Amino acid sequence: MIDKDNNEMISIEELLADLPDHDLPGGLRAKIMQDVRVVRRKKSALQFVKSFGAGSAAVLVLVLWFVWWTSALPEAPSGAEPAAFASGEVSHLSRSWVGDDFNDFVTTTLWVEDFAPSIAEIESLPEGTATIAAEGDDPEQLVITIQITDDNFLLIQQTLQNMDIYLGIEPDTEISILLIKIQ
Amino acid sequence: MSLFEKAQKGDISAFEQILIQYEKLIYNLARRVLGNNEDAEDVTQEVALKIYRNLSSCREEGLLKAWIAKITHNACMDLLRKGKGKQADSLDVLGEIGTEVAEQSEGPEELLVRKELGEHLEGALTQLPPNYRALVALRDINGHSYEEVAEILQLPVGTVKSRLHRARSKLKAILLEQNKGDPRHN
Repeated sequence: MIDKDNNEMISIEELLADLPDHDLPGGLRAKIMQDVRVVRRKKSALQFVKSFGAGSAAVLVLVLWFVWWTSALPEAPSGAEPAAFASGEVSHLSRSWVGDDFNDFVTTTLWVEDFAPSIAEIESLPEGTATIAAEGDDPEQLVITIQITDDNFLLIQQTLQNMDIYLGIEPDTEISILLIKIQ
Repeated sequence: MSLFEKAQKGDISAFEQILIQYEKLIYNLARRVLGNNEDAEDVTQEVALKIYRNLSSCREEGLLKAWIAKITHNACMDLLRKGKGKQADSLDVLGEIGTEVAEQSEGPEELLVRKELGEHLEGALTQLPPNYRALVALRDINGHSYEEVAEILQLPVGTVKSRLHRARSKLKAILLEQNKGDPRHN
């Protein structure tokens, strides 16, 4: 189609084959991987729920464990409904969240391993909003209660990400989280 | 266990490695079919998630590239079908770029001319109907075989060949028309 100096003809196919690749826009892969982690948590949760329903013995053991575990937690304030914190109310927790590994924190500490019994409940929750409350002023002994009325894990994650604004927890801090279904 | 098998079992870092291998393929195919960066980014994101969710349904590693291209193409067509796609990048900008191929020379200047030519060609691609764009991108740019293109687009091989011929002819006509309009060629 096009004459070069040496009169060689180049076909459209050859020209197109020479087209350079465009690089992915910066940050897109990181964004994708963040989405993938959310999907993974959902998949893990669903798998758990499936296996949860598969064996009644396993269900019984987990329910008993959950009952024991929740009873071991400090009692909730009277009224049973923890109030949502405004940022100023927990300003005495001065340590700030600095971790890029927030996703690991959520995955390992909250969703998949320690708090699996709550996931079945989360899955069936209606849409709504989430509120966060906490007890105690020592981050390493902190008990956080999250009321969730949304079955969207992404929203829950976003809410948890906002939690650092309220609580200032360091990445390696061990915390206990109780998920409560709101009727 | 191969990277592919690990990713199929949900290993996130193995999946990321696969993504690194194929992200350009996805992004470039989407960009060329949709004609703009914004939609291509959205489709790349959507396709990556689809791959992660459904990787176990890809039967073997050797089929992965075509499988990914198929998902990408379908995502692009869905977007176009819904009419949500943005306008293709303006040809007015790309049209300013000349194709002084006859003056090609060795060295940096040649590279520059090649780059300009590439942009000119991409601009011409956006003038093709989307199904032709996909054909040209898959066969001539991504280098898929006719059989793979047929599998990806769910068309008989013969139809792929005849449509590709028409697509190239149309592309040639567009390029010639653009050259005519370029004062440097008059």
